[in-house]
Amino acid sequence: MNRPGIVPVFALIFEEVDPSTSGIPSPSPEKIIKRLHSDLRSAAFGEERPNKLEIAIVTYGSDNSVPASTGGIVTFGLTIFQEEVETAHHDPSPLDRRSSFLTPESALMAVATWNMRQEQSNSPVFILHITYGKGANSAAVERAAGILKTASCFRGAPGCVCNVWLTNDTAVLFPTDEDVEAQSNPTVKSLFRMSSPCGEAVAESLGSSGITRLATTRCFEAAPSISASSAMKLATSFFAEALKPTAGHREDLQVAAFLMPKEGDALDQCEDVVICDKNKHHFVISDGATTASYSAEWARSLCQHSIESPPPVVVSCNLPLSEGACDNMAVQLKAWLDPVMQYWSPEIPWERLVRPAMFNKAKVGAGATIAGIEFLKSESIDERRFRGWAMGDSCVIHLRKNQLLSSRPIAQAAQFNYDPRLLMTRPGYEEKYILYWQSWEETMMIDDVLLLATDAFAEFVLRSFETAHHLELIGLINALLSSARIAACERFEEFVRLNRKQGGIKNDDVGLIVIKPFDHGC
Amino acid sequence: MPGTYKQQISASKNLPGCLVLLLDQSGSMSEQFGADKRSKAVAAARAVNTALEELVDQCTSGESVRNYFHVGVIGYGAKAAQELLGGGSGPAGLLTTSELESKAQIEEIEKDEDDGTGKLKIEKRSKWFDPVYSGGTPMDEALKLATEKLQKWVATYPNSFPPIVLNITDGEPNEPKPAELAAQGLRQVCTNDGDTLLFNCHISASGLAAIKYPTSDQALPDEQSKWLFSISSDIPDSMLKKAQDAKLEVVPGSRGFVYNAAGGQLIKFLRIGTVVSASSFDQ
Repeated sequence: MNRPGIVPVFALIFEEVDPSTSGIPSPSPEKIIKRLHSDLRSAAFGEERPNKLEIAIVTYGSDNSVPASTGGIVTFGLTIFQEEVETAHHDPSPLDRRSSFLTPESALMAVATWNMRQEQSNSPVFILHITYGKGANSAAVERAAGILKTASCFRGAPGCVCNVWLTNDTAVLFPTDEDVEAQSNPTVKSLFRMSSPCGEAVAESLGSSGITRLATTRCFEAAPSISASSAMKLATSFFAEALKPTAGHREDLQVAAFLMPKEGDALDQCEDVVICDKNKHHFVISDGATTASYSAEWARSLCQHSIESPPPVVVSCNLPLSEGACDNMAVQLKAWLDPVMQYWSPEIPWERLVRPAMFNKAKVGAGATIAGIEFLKSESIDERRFRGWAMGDSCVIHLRKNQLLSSRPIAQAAQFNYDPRLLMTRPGYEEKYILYWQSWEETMMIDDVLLLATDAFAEFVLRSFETAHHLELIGLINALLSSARIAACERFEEFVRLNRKQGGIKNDDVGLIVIKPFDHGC
Repeated sequence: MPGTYKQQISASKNLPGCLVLLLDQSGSMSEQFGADKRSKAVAAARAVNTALEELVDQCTSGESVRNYFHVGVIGYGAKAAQELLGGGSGPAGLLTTSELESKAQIEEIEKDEDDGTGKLKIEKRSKWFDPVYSGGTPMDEALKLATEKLQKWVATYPNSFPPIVLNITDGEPNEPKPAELAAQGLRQVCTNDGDTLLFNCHISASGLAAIKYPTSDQALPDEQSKWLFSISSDIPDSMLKKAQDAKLEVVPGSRGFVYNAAGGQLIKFLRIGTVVSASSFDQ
C-alpha cells in the first residue's frame, strides 16, 4: 500500500566533550548515519517504501570548544532505498551542517520547536539523544525532554525519543519502571524519565530480535560506546513499525495542531498537551492544572495512553441508567486509568524533592482535563462517524457550515470557572468521574470542522458564537488549514496574542487541534 | 477610590502580588486559645506558618517556587514593630516566594499512621516562626511599618494587583484610635488596580465557634472583633468568584475578616490557577 508524502525523520542530538577527558570514544555522526542507512535498507518495509530519510544533526556541549548556537535546525535528506542513488556520498560532511547549542535543554527545545513547526504529514520521527550524562538530572533538561516527547505528534504521528548514556559505570538496556526503581543512580532515573515508552509493537519487534522486554520498557540505554548500543536497532524497529502500510489508508483529514504557553512563559512551562495520530485517526488534548506539580507529565501520560488505547464508552451517570450500569462503567474507567497512574509516578524526580514544599506538593498529585476523538471505520468519506470523550473544561467543538453545532462537555462560555473537574493521579475517584464523563458518537459531514481546545480558547470560541462575533474566528480556522505550516503557526500566535491583549482570551496556555475532512471532489 | 482588582498575578509578566503578614506577639497572646490547650500565641504562630505554607504551596511547581509574590512578615509586641522576615530582593527588602521558601526550617511531625514498618509516619513540613509573646500591642506601629514598605512596593509595581495585608491578632491594640488611623493610611496605599486590602484574623480566648467573612458586625461577640471588622476591607467582587470556587463561604459584601478560624483560609483568596481538588465534583 502506498504511503504518499511520508518522509521518515531522524534527529540526532549529541553531547560534545573532549575525548581525552571523557575516557569514552566520541560518537561519530557519520558512522551513526551509515549504520542507520545500512540497517534501514536491510529492513523489510513492504513493497512501497519511502525513498528518503530526513536527518537533522544537533550538538551541544559544556566546554569552551563548542561553538555558539546557530539558531535554527539544519536538515539534509538522505536517499535510502534506491540502490542507485546514495546522496550521502554527495552531501558535505553532516558535521558541517549541524546546528550547535550550548546547553542540552536549548538543544532539546530547538529540536522540539523545529518539529512542531514542520509541515504536517504523518511522518514518523525518531530522536536519538547521545549524552555523557552531564546535563541529565536537571529540571530544565527534563522539562525540555517532556515537550520533545510530544512535539513529533505535530507532524501527525507520535514520535520516539531515545536516550543513550555513554558510560562505563552502569549497564542499562531499555529498562522498565521496576528496573529503574531498583537503581540508585540519579542519571539513570533522569534519562529514563526523558525517554519515550517503546510501545507495544516496537517492544514485540525487539523481543523477536532477542531483546525480551515488556511493553512498558522505555527507550533508554547506558552503554560504553554508541557502536555497542542497541539503540540503532530500536530506531530501525521504530521506523519499520511506523512505516507499516495501513490497509485502505488515505489522507482524508486536514489537521492542524497548535500549542502556545501563557504570555511571558516559555514553551517548556506549558502544561497543555496536544497529541495527534493521523494514522490511527486519534486526537487528544489535555490541560494540566496550573497549581499542581507535574501536571504536564500527567496530561502527557493521559494523552499518550488515549492515543494508544482510547477510553471505554462511558456515558454520564446523570442520565437514566439501568441498575448496576454505573458500577460497571466505573470499573471500566478504573481499568483504563490504572496504567496511566502507574506511568505518572516514575515521571517525578522524587530523589530531588528534598524540601517539604516540593515533596508535599508532588505527593498531593496532579490533575488534568481531557478531550479526545477517534474516527470510527466508515464507508462514506462524506459522512464520517467519530466518537468523542471529554471531562473538565477541555472541549470538542463541532462546527457545521460555519455555525456552532455542539460543544462538549461545556456548551456555554459562562460555564467556565476556576474549578474544572479533573482526572487526578490519586486513585479512587472513578465513581465521581462517571457522573461527569461524557462520551458520544456523532457524524462529521464534509463541510464540518472539529476543534479540540483547552479552556482559554474554547471559552473564546463559544463567546464568539454567543455574541455573533465569530467571522474573525472562521477566518482564522480557514487560514490555519490552508496556510503553510510556519505561516499558520505565526498567524495563530498573532491571533492569540492580540485577543489576550484585548481581553478576549485569558492569559492561559492554549492547546488547539483543528480537523476538517479533505474535499476530494469527484 | 475602589479599584477593579482584576489584574492577574503573573510572575512571567512582572506583575507579582504582595502579601504582608502582621503577627501580634504581645503579652496577651499568652492566654489560652478558647477551649484549646494551646495559647493564642501558639495559634497565631500556627496561623502564620499555615498561611506562608499555603502561599508557598500555591507557588510551587515541581522543583521550583515561582515568584508570584513578594512577602513580608512584621511582628509587634515587646520590641515594638519589627521586621521578622526581611532582607529579600524585592522592594523594601520584601522576599520573593522562592526566598521565603528557602528560609523555612524543616519540621518533622509524627502522624497518627503507621509508616509500614511499625513506626509512626513522619511528615516534613515548613516552619518559619515559633510562638513569642511579651509586652504591649503596638498595632499602629506595625501598620505604619507595613505602609512604608508597601509605598515602596507599589511605586515599583504600579500595575500589579494591590497588596494584601493579613493581620493576625487578638484584637487588643494599645490604643485603638491611632491603630484605626494607621489602618486607614495603609488601605490608601494603592496600585492602578485598587487600594491595599487589609484582612484580619482574630484569635480570641472566647472559645466561641468560628465566624468567617461576615457582612456586618451583628453576629460578632465582643468589642475587639467588632473593631477588627470595622478596619477590615471588603472582599472585592473580582475575588468573590475565586473564593466561592475554593468553597469559601463568602457572599457579596463579605469582609476579609475571620474570627477563631485558620489564617490559611484567607490566603485561599490568592489562588493563582486551577487547583487539584476533589471538591470540584461536589458543585
